[in-house]
Amino acid sequence: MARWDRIAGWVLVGVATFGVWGALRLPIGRPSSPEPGFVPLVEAILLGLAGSALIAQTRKAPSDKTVPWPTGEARRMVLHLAVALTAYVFLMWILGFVPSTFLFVLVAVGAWRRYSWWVSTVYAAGVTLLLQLTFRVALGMPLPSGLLGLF
Amino acid sequence: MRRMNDIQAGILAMGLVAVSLLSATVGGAAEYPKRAIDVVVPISAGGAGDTWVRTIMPYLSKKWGVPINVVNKPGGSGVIGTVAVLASPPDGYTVAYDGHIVPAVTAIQADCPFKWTDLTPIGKLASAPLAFAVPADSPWKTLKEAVEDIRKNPEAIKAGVGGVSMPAVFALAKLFDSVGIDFKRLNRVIFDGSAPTMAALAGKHVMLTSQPAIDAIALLKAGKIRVLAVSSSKRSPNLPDVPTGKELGYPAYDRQTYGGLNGPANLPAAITKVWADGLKEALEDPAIVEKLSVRETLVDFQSPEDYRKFLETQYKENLAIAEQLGLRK
Amino acid sequence: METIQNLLFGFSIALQLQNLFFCFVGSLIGTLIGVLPGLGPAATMAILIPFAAGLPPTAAIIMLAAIYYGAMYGGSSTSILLNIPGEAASVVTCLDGYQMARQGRAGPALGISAISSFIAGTVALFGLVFLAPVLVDVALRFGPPEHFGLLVLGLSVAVSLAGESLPKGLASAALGLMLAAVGIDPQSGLTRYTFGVVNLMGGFDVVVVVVGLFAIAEVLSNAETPAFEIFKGKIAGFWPNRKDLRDSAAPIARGSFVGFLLGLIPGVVPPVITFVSYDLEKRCSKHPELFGTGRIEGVAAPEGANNACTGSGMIPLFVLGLPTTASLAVLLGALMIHGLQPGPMLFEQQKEFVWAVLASMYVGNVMLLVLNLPLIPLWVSFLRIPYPLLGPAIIVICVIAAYGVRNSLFDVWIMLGFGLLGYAMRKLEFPAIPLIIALILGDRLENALRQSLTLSRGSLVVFVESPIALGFLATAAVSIGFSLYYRYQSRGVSATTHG
Repeated sequence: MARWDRIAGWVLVGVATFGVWGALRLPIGRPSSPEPGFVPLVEAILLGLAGSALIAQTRKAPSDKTVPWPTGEARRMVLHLAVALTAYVFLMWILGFVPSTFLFVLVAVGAWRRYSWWVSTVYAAGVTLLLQLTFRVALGMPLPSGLLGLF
Repeated sequence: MRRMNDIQAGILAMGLVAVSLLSATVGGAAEYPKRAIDVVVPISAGGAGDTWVRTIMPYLSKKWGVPINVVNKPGGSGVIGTVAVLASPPDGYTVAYDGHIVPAVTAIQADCPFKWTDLTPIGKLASAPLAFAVPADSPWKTLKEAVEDIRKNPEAIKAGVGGVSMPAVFALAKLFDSVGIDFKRLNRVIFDGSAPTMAALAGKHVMLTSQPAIDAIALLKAGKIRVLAVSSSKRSPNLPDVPTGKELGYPAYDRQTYGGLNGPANLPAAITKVWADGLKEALEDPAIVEKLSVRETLVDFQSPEDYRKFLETQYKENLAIAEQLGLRK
Repeated sequence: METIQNLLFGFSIALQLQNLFFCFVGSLIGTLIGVLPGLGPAATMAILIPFAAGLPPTAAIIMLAAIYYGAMYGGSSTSILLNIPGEAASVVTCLDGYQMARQGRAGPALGISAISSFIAGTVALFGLVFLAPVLVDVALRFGPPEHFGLLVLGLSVAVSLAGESLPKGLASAALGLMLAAVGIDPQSGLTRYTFGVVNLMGGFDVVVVVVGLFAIAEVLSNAETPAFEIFKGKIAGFWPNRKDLRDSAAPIARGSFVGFLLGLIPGVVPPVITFVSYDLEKRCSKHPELFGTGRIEGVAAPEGANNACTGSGMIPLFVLGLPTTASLAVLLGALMIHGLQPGPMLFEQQKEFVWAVLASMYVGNVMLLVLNLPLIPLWVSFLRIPYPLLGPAIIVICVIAAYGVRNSLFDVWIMLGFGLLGYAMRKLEFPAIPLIIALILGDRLENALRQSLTLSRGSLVVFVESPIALGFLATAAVSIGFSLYYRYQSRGVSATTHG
């Protein structure tokens, strides 16, 4: 945990530095009359302090806990879902709601390797249809139609 | 009928083909609209302009026989929704609502990703007057008293406005400029929307505001505020006792908030005409006029050409004010 | 007494068949909207305005109002069952509500949520009826310095919910504040941290971030467990037991009280109110360190506050035409369309209408209780759906939710990003709640600060001059002080925040 805490701390300091840089591009003003950059600057500094405190803490009291990153089967599951989800969003942009949702549910259910392809397909189709009816038809909510506007 | 010979048949066939090709390209507008239209409203659902659009569109939808979807794409002071429409093909199936966004944001934000000239004006829908309001126990009973007092010591005056590119900012700047007061010298407090601004006025945290009249009526009737003038050219039916700026000798107080429709660049004139004609007709429908006037809104239809001139005037005025106030960044 | 007479008269109208019907329709729609993350009451109400315009005024307003408070009822269901807040105001319910669900106590959680909402709604109604005009004047005294004080108090809640590691909690909060700054600065029109990306000009929407940080991260986390049912063990009963009810009594009272008062102030949004209520409850408890592990008080109080503020928000709306939240602004629009002008004239000239609407709010509360309680077994049974089927469905609903907020695919990408971040944060034990609190408050806090300083021309004294502002700031300071004290006193036992 200590190692990862330290990494996280440095990442935070990095983000804080970026924040300071972004804030300094704006007018800063003074404490009595803050300009758009003032408050973000303070916030970025606070983040930097928090990150530094975290780093300092890891030196003082190294804990014996380890970060429970997933391994083996669990890792496969998480990756499977994460990649599928990323592809889903991308596909939704290109193909629209219906095909991308169907494909995602199909692939995502498959991650658990519990159901046959038939069951997964039927379920995916059912879910897609139900959502299409609920949101687009009943609620009149527009959902992405893809680049060709087909679906 | 005499049988045509082959050559005549061939010429006739080619003629038919040519006519149908021609009508497909030019006469596209004759069949417009054929499918659902998206009206993108760059503010959140429920805002004043959003309600105007939702009031008017059902009429057009019925007239044209196609669904019209009102799609809210709020964010970035209206920039996000407007940019989305600009990126759409100029086929008339995506238009943007503009509620005092385009000429204001383009004037104030130097890094605005579009210029007002990037859009094709379709038509103005309505205008709503602003109300110069002060707390009920304010020493100012007339606009003249207020202006003279402000002139004496502008720095001591706290003015509340509902946002950085709201009509109020330009209305007040114009008014004060016309009487020789530098609006920049007033203590301008910027709130996040009309309701917080009016609440601040009623709670006496600021001394004057110039928000849309519709937001002031309830407070006026409740006796919490006093309205010294409205910015329309005629008195408002809901506020018959309130004089107009013009009446009081301050014709520069004429900024109103408005609503209009724009399309992406290079929208064919034929399609614009279909919209303009449709809007004109819709805005003459008594039911729609009634619904809008209840909301302190006057139907104010302008043709595409007039609307374009209107936008240009607004933009130029706004730009000058923005630079004078040091707002343009 | 005249008021009682008016109220009874109002009931007679509210109970007319047509009004009853539309109250029911509104409650149903509202509950559905609340359950579905992303689609908020404001947007739904706006969409239905043209439809409502065709109805008689009383029925129309009754329906729209029912959607508003119905959404508050529904929003807590998904918070408790799936750790997905139906809307920002339900975020706090996730903390203890979801833990209760994981312990098989989803039924009691949902039950207390409904009961608390009902009682709070009743309290709000009484307050509305008897105290209305008096309180409005007090609410108007809230200017920028007072708002600043309240928001600082809200932010201080983030400290108390920071979890074991204070630096991590503060980092989370600071990150939230910085995220809030992305977009257009409301005070100057300048773009901050957008780097030319147009879509960033709108900033990060809270709902999108919450859905990613909580829901997506949750599903990813659950995917690690080979068990096919995440909610192990028997579902222990569908209703709150006697102990639950006893434990919840005081929290409900406190939550209603806080919710009612804070809901009167324009600009104070329900999420802030629920945070403050949760924090108050934690401090009043004998076992604050157990908050976040499934304490029923952590559900009862915010749910009560939630519903009380929707009721009290009607007061500034009807009396002054000042909407305190976006949904109420839509309701205001609907009032206008029906020719009903808020203000004292409304109470005098349209007595019949006003009292009918107020009475119907109570009717609506009863209806929602009746609607929601029997549905609890149904909702709970959803948890029995095997996770391989439930998980992907949740993800798809989240995607729809994120898209639906602003009709933007960009927001879906943001949700994805925060989903991955949320997953990493869980692993590294960074609490997510401070980030959300800071994100919600960040912009408002900055606005209030800058407005105050503009008004006072730079003098910081303005925060001390106002008794209300001073009161809030002092409470925040004391609150932080106690948090730090307990933290360093009892290193071993400290509050753990889930998610």
